[in-house]
Amino acid sequence: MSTMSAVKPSAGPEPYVSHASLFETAKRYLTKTKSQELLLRSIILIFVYLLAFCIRLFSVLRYESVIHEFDPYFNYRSTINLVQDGFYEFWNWFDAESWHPLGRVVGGTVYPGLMFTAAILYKVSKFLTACIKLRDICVFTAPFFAGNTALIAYLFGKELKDMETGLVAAVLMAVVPGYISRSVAGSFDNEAVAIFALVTTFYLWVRAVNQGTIASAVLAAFAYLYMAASWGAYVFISNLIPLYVIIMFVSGRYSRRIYVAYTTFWAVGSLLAMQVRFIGFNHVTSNELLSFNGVFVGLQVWEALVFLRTKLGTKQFGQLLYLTAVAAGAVGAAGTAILVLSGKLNPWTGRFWTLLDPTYAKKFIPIVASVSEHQPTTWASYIFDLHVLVFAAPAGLYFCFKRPTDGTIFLTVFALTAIYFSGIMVRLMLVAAPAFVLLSAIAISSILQSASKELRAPAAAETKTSPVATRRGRGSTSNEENITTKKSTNLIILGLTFLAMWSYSSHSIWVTSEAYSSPSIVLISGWGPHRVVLDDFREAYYWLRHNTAPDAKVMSWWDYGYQITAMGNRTVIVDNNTWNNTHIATVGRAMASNETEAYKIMRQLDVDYALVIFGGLSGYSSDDINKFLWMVRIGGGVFPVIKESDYLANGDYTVSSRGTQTMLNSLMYKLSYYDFGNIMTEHGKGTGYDRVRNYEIGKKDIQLDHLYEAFTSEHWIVRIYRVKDLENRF
Amino acid sequence: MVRLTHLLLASLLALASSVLADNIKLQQVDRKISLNSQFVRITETVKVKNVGNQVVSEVILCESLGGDAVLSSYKVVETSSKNVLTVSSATVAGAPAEAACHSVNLAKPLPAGETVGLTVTAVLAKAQIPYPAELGQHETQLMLYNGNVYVLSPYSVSSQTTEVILPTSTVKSYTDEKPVSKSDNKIKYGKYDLIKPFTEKRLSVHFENNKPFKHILTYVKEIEVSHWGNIYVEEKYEIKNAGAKHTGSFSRLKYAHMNLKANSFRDLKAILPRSAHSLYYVDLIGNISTSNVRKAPTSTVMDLELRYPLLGGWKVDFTIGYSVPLKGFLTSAKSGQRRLTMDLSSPLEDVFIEDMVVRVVLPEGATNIKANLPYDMEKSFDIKYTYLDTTGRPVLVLHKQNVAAPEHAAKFSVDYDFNTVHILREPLLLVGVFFALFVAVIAYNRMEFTITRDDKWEAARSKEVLATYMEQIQALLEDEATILLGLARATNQVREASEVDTAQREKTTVEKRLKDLEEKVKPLLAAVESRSVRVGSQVRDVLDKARLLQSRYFKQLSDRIDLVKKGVALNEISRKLAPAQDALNAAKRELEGTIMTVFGAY
Repeated sequence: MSTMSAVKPSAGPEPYVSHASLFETAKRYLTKTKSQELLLRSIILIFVYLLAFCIRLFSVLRYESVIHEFDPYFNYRSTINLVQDGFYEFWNWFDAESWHPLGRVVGGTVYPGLMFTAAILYKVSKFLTACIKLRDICVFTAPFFAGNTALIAYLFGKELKDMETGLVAAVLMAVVPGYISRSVAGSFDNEAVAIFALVTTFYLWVRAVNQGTIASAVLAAFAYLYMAASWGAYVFISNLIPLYVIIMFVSGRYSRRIYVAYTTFWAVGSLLAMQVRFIGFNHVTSNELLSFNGVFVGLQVWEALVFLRTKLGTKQFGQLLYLTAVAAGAVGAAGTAILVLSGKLNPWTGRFWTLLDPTYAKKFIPIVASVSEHQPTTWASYIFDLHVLVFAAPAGLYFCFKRPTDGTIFLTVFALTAIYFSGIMVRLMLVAAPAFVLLSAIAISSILQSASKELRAPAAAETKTSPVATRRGRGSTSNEENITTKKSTNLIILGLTFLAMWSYSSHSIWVTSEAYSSPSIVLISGWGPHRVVLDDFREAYYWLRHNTAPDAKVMSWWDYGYQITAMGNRTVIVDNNTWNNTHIATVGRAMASNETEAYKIMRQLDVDYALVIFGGLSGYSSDDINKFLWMVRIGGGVFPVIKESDYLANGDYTVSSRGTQTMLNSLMYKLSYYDFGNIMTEHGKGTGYDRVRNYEIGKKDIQLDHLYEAFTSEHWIVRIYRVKDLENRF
Repeated sequence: MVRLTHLLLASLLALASSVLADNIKLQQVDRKISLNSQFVRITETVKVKNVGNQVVSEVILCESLGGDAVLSSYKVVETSSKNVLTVSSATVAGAPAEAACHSVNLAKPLPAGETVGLTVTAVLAKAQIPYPAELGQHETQLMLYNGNVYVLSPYSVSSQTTEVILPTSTVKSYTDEKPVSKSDNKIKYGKYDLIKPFTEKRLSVHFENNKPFKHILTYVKEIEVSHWGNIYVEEKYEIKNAGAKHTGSFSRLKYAHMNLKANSFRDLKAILPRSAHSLYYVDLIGNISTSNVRKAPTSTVMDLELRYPLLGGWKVDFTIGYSVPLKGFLTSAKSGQRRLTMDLSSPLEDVFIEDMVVRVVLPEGATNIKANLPYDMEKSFDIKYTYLDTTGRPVLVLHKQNVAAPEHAAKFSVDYDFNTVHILREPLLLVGVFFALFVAVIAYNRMEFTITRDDKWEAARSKEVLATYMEQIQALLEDEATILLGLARATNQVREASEVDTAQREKTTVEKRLKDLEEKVKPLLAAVESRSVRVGSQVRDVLDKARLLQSRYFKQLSDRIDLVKKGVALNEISRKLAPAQDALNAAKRELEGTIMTVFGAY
């Protein structure tokens, strides 16, 4: 019964078959340490997987199974398209419903990894006759991949140090708030699968370095393909790995394994990544990937020199070295010159500078600076997103430096760069989270291991030495004292670690349920009978979908573009893709101009409806009046007619009676506050009291000449205006 | 072919009626036209007299349908017996284009000179036309109804009256055909005497009607039966406000704060079965968070609010769904025949459905499907693939146009044969798939995918083979431990001299079995030694220890037997044997420790 042999001895003795009953066999199996360890480990991993999945379901339980926020709506819409038209057609998809009248070549300007993933999951579930709706597939993609990431963290930890570290890493990864923030159910964004791809690539890369085989490096290259297909941050990988190779080279740890791993990874990884249409030949020509390609060339030259040195004498080798250096310098300079002159070598992009100089965007690219997730990170958000890991990670660095291996050096490089980038943009906290998790896992498992080892060791020693100790008399007391103090110290260490883990997990759960689970298209406040649901966005978008002409064009600030096309199914002028700054500036200009000027722009852009978000009645603070400064700045950046100073009253964008005339006559002001001057919003305040800005608005009697109110949602959050046709001239 | 016979039939009927026309006279017709909703509801009490000399079994009755109006429901009841009579549509020669005529089969043929009373109820939809067709947000809605002042009939009518009931007393204009009187919200025409067949005089009323015109453009209801205990119902609606079209701006301020709602509506009410659970109310972009559910004594009431108020001409779509248990809806006969009884039409109150499709999805394996319907519907069949389906589920598709909400609310039933064995199809499928998966994994593990068999491969393989031997030896040692445990138990049971024999017998069998194991372990040990001398010696060490332990057990037994034979008291025996027992236990623990270190890795 207990012969579990996978391979039968071919000509060996007769196999022994036990007579034990099934129950007896199971009991014997379970009492073995090895199987107990396996059982425990698998149970922990299964629970970690479930935990990673379930903790992200707060949003579904609190709200509903719905796609969140802005970008996920585009991804959802693309996925629907992908499923309907097929994978091939998707590459050719020209979206005429956005960026009117320009349109957008979606197939060539999108990272399709997420949509392909969801579409494949959908097809598989359909094949298995599981009949899951596409929307639910999209909603649950992120939690599903979070579970996978936790498992990869286990493997990574195992590869870096040992199995225990892997387990700790899996647990920490499952609930790290920095990652949860972008992977709750409904958050159908690139990052949902990209973090999985990122960690997998790093894990497979470390594995490739450790093994030094071609097969392992090819595997890493495929993970890199998935990353490149999913998120623009693939550039991080293709810069980090060369950086790591350079550091290994400089520190004298370079080996043939690294050579094999890097060369294979470069060759296969580049070819694969170039298959993504959005990347294409950028992978060779882009400056962002210069180090990736340069290090490859450098490694080849180095290996060639090493090879030649073994074949040639010292003198000849010296001459050769000189010649090669001169030739390489000349060829390199000429090549760079040709590439720059022919325009093949792209200039350093704004994104690059933003990453090096945190203040760059604020000064030169208002459209990047206007996004809240592109702001520099505050210390508070480190604690909020990483909690205990902030303190555990430096300890992990200590352990990494104490006994450096190829793997831990990679982790160190990864962690230090990720920490730097996370300081520049809040969004990149996401990349730093895995680094913090792995470092902390090393620290925590090292501490736990040493503490529990010492706890166990004296206990064994005590029983053995006790009869001897009594005979020895006085000498033993100090020894015993020593043992007990050691024991209590270790117990305290264990207790503190437990406490830290406890507070970490409760913090994660709290953060997830309170901060990261709101879909932001439906707002709920209060509990039970006092629950107030503000479902204005969907109300208005659905109205657009059913009660406007199918080819109607809607003008709104770019934040709402994706939502309008996905939920309202109507053409928009600008959307969250922000690929054309001038077009966005035109919309900004229209919103900032007076009605007559704006009407001219809207006629030119073929606009049928203008849509604004207004929170003055409901107290919804991220409305268009609060975003107005960006419209002015972005509009003014392209069209100097718009001057920021015209809108500022004492350096303040106010719409109260202190506000400037330009401000109070702007289209945005009129559309937001039309009819608002006639209602009382709060007791004891006059009419037209704005509940977000907390003052009465400056101009209450608003007349519209070229537009009229077409729809306003229940709590006035979304206001849609119809642009009138030209007056009949006869 | 079918059309030809229809035509033939119609012309025959027309012929018959024209022949019969002289034989029948309508003595008295009292008609009520209710315009108090989006429908036009007409009730007529008719006294039919056979004035000819032949027996009459068929009477033709007509209604006037102006414009786009459609006849949604038409019912004729014999006044005295309350019997519902069968009705079929008919074409009558000489009838005006707007007349919709029906031939009514009398329950009893009407002999010459006799009279019979009939009550006709007709529901007309789209018979009220908004006039003006467009409306601002603050204006009240005016409707125009066009009919005929006189009852359209192929027979002459001796005496008739018509009463028009309006929602309010506000009337802009109405046809003035004397004698006519208006009081409050009623207009009375007649009485008119001796009206010739098909006399036409347009009856036109222009009046205020702010009642919501809830038109459901398409309605698809899907009923899915699972014999595991659930009936799942999903209803998809596309609804439109068919009143006067909204024009100009929509001011939320006026709508909410000044209560200028005109002909708009937002509320719907659905009456669902009492046992309904797991309700939902969604549309394409997620939940619609404005709804309320309460349990009434006999029903579950769902108060729905649309995503946004529907002003005239505005549209929206939504989906509601719920589940009910089988109990009360599905009955089964012994022969395997089942009957599903459900509501046929929409659970919404006061709506007009232009196009209704009811899909009944029966479980896989259902055959012999028959529908019992309260009224005529188009029938067809379809197949649906859903959870774990292989051959697909049979779907009965029922289709009808122009359905009015209260009039067409009725139950229907579907009979089908279903063998209970089919219920196991899906679990068995799952079991099968998992079984196949495990078999595949087992097969994969036993396959060899190595391309080159180099030294590394040889070493790994040798290690694997060694591991199988080690596992076997370990199993053998565990068996030995179990046998020895049995021996220990037998030892403890020796309390009197008479029990000695049993113990001796037990000892013999144990000895034999141990010897047997000893024989079996030899070739295994040799095999291990041939692969690794180091491991071999370790195993040999373990086996030596095991043998020593065996002898201790036997010694313990023989000592005890000796003592019992001498007649020593039991507690005395335990005391005497205790040191040896301690030593035995220590040896056992040591052996277990050694086994763990030697075999733990395999």
